[in-house]
Parts: sequence; C-alpha cells; structure tokens
Amino acid sequence: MTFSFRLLDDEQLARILAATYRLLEYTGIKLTHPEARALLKNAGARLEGERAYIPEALILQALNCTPGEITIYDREGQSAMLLGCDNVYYGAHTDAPEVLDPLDHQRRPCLEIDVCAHARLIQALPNIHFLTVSGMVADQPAQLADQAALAQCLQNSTKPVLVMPISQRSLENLRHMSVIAVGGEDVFNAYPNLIVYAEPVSPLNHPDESISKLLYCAENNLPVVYSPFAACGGTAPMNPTAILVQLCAESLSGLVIHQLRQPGAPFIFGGMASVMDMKSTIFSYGAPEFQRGNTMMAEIAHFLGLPNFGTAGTSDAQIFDGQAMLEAATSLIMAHLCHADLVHDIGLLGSAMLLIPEMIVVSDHLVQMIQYLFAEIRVGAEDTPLEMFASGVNSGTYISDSNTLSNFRQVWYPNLFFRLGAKKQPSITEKSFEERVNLRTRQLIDQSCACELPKERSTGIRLIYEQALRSL
Amino acid sequence: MEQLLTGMQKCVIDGEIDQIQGYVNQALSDGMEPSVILNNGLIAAMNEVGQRFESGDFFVPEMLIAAQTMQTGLAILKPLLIKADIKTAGTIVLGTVKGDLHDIGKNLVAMMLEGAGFEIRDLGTDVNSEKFIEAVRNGDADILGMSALLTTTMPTMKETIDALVEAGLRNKVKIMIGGAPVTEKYAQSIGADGYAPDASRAVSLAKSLLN
Repeated sequence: MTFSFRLLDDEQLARILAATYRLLEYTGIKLTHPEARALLKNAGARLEGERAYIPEALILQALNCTPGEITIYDREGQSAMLLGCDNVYYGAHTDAPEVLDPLDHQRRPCLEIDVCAHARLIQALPNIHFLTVSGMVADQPAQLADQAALAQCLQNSTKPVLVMPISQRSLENLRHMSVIAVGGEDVFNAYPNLIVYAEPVSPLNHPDESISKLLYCAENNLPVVYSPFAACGGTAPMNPTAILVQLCAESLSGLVIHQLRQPGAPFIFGGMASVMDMKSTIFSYGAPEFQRGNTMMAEIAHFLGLPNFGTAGTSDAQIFDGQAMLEAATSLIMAHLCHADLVHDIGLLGSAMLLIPEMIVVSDHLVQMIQYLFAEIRVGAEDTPLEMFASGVNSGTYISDSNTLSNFRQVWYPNLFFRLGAKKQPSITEKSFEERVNLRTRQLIDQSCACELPKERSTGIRLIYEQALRSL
Repeated sequence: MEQLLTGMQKCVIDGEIDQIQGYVNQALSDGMEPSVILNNGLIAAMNEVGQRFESGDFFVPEMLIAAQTMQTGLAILKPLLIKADIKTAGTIVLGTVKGDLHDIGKNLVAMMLEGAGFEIRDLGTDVNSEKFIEAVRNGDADILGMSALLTTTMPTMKETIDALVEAGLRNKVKIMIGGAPVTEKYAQSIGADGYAPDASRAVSLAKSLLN
C-alpha cells in the first residue's frame, strides 16, 4: 500500500476553486499587455481600465485543453522528468545574489565560475534532477547574467534546466543556446530540456514582461511555469485560505491567456504561499505556513489535473547550520508527501538571497532518506515464512541467514550520516556533520566533468553570448 | 596452478560456499601442497575480504559468508595439515565473558581469525575466569581473546586478567579484548595487550601480538 496524505479534502478543494473563479470574474486581474488583453477580449472576457474580468467558462475551457502531463528531457535527449504523474523531481539553484563559499565559508556575490561549480555538483547528485538558473551572476553584465549562467549549465551538466529569464529578449537567446546544446531545432522541439519560469506579481497583477515571456513560451511550445509568490499580511490577505485563492487566480489567469495564444501548449501551475514576518518584514522561506501553503497548492494542482511547481529545501537561515537543515528537511518531507512534482529552490537560503552548496548535498541525502521513509511496504505470505524465524531461534541470530545475505543491501546506508559507533575511524568521528558535508561538497565539485558538450556546440553557445555582449 | 588459486580466491571472496570443495579437491589432485592451498588460496582470499571490509566495500554478511566458505574448504585440508605437521599462525582461546550470552561478534572474530590461519579454541558464551584460566593452563594458547557486549559484564575481563596474574600464567599468553562497549583505553586500564574495534582488525591485532 502506498502512503496517502492530504491536507485538503475534495470539498475544500472545490470551495477554494469556486472562490477563485468568483475572484477572477468579479474582482479581476491587472493586465496591460495589449496582445493578452486582445486575446481575452476576443474570447469574451470583460475589460475595464487596467482590469480584466475572466468568466469561469474561459478558465474551464483553458483547463480542458492544457496537457496534464509534460515530459522533460536531458541534454542527451533521454527522458528525465515526467511531470503531472504523481512524481517528485528536485531542482537546485546554480546562482543567487550571494553564495556561501564552501572553501573559505565567506559570503560573497555569486560569480560565473560558481555556476560552473554548482552545475557540476548537481550533475553528481542522483536525487537532484534539474538545475535552476535565476540569472544572478555578479561578474557578467546584469542584463545577460541569465545567459552567462545557462551557458555554464549546458556545458557542465546534462540535466534539464529551469530558467528565470531576465527578459523576453534574453529568453530568445536562452532557447537558442538550448537548441544548440541538444543538437538542433527539431531535436529541441521533440525533446525539450528547458523549462521557463515567469511570474505574476501578487496581488493579482500581470506585468507586461511576464506576459511577454508567457506568450513567447506558448508560441514556441516551451514548457512554462507561471507561478506567483505571495505572503500573508504583505502581498496576500492575512488568511491561510484566502492566499490560496489569490495564488490560484494569479496562476490560472495566466493559464487562460497562455492557452488562448496556443491551445495545448505545456503549462505548469503553481504558487508559493508564504507569510510576511511582522518582526523583520521578510517573506519567510522556512515557515511552517509556507510549507503547508505549498503543500495545499500542490493538492489544488492535482485536483485540477495540472503539473505543479513546488518549493522545498529552503530556509531562512543565513548560514549552514541546524536551522537550515531542519527547515529544509521538513519542507522536503512535505514535498514528497504531496507529490509536489517540479520542486525548486533547493540550496537557496537566507530568504532566497543566499546559495549554500552544502545544502544541495544535504538535500540530496535527505531526499534519498525520505524515499525510504515512505517506501511501499509489502505484506505477503512470502515475507513471513515460518522457516525464516526457525533459523533465528535455532542459531540465536539471523546474521548468517541466506535471507540476510540476499537482502541486507536493501537497507539504506547513508554516506553522510554517522553510524560507525564511537570507536571507529577517529578521523571521521572527530569531524562534525557540517565538516563532513563541506568535505563531500568540495570533493564533488572537484570531480572532473564527464559531460562536456561537443566542441562545436560549446562554440555555438559561446558565440550567442558574445553576440549578446556586443549588442549591449 | 596460478589460475586454480585465483579461482579459489574468487570463490571465497564471492562466498560461493557450494563450490569451494571442488576447488580444494582439484588443487589436491593436481598435487598442490595443502599448505600452499591454505596460504596462497584460502588465507590470501580472506586477507582481501578483510581489506574490503575495512575500506567499506564489504558488509558483515558478505564477510561472514566468505569466512564460512573458507572454513568449508579448510575442513578438507585440516587432517592433511595435521598429518604434515604444518604449524598454524597461532592458537587463540576465545570466549564471551561470564554473564554475557552475546556471541555474534565473538563468532565473527573467530571466523576471521581462522580465515587468517589461526587455530581457534572457542569456549562459547558465559565463560567465567576459571574456565579461561583452565584453557590457558592446559593448552598451548598464544592469545586469549575475551568479548563482552554489556557494560555490566566488562569487569569480568579485568577479573580474568587479575586471576591469570595470580595464577602465574599472565606471561604465558597475550590478551586481546573486544565488544561494543570496550575501548582501547579500557584495554590499557585493565592490563590487556590489545583491543580491536571489529573482526577484521582483530586479525591484524592478533598477528601483531605474535610478532
């Protein structure tokens, strides 16, 4: 039996959606993008000033034509993620405003060379399935930071990439880079290795730039995440249910525009439901409200039959410490339990300002542990034969049992957690968990990259970037 | 010949218990000396097993099945070795101390020591100091090995060593101890000659004590 877990029952989910449809029809959204407004108007939505009011029928129509499953491929054309199918895939950031350097533990701006290191690190971790480029590379021009980062990712990892493009113009180059990396336009269209992130701005506002990215993805059949971030008391009502309704309205109104532009184009629903900390004013990335909110958003996505954009492995901690690991651990458990689908932000701490590479390594380990925690349990006659117990009673131990020999490796053996007892390997026992993780992180980064691109593809990617630099 | 020994070693390392006798009999019928089969085949394989365990590649059940395979092969060789008066690496008296019925660790140590060519006299579990002394007095033990899992039974180790001193037998044997609560420091404090944290390292300890 597989473990099932729900925070919301079907009736509650239906009420949240009914409230969402009312909100979109009677309060509406802020939308100024001319093409999107025209699309909505032609489809029967009401426009007034900067507002657009979307009737329920348009939302249901969009839901009807949106694919419930999306396959994302790796750079080599192999299927890497099947979204919308009760799976969970974890993604870690390659860049952020700042990074905690694993070599000297200093906090400093993230550089292009760090992206290369992080891409290699993620490539080496089996439970981190995709890379996230947020476009924060301090030693490259800010307008091209996303392109500089993606170029590094494509050359140092085969895993799919979620990109947060700086602009729609930049997105065109990001797509072009990916096309070259996978070996051409046809290959890319059939086996996309890129997911684009765009966001409405809470409350209920769709900036022109976000809509431009969304429409570009629809036109090009590029998988797109359209997911807002809101915090109760700040950019959402101070109510744990109302925030869900608002986030749904924001993501679903994007879906309507997206599907009107290109019915059937791949779309990933989402919304990050946090709280504003009224002592510090931060939007928390570690709060239990945030983890609960994200879980409920995943449940709504499943109810709607849409792939979901989740968040986990994050923390408000500003250093690599116990708080960082505890907040990351509970969020990863929640993401697993609700089958959060495409889970991003692993390794991103300090309220999304700080990348801590060690936390990517810890999260990879935790994901493995969590998979064991909730693994399916088999209870069949073959699991409890009497002769199995007889051999134990006869010899006083099961250690030399053939059943032990054939099955003991099914037990999870951690490579970071310490289990060697008090006396063994003093060189290891004397190191703290943090020190061991740091050592492992540096070892993984130092591993030579075994996934380099063919030279002509690397050159092609570099040429796109150089061209972009010249045209600044 | 070399190929046969390599096959025999692989058989032990992989724990192919049903096939080891075939290898040993084949080697004997090819005219290989029992001591060569023992040292270059079975013991060499167990050395490799010990190294793999210490490096973390092998786990306890794999070490155990390898040791059982080795013993199955050794059973054929034993009478021949005795007949040829081949000396073992040494004789070790082993037991879990009085009040303690735990023997998984002690049995593992016994198997690994046997795998390294030692002669083992296993006194079993719940062994009091008198029995240990008697075994040392009446036998030709080179090493006395004591095991304890419980902190409450650890003091029996010291009692046994004190009793050996009193009986004038302490210089006759080296003493090694082990078990979950036992430490190097404890071994030193009670006057033992050595301590090993696991079965594989008990082998290197026994070898070093007799050198």
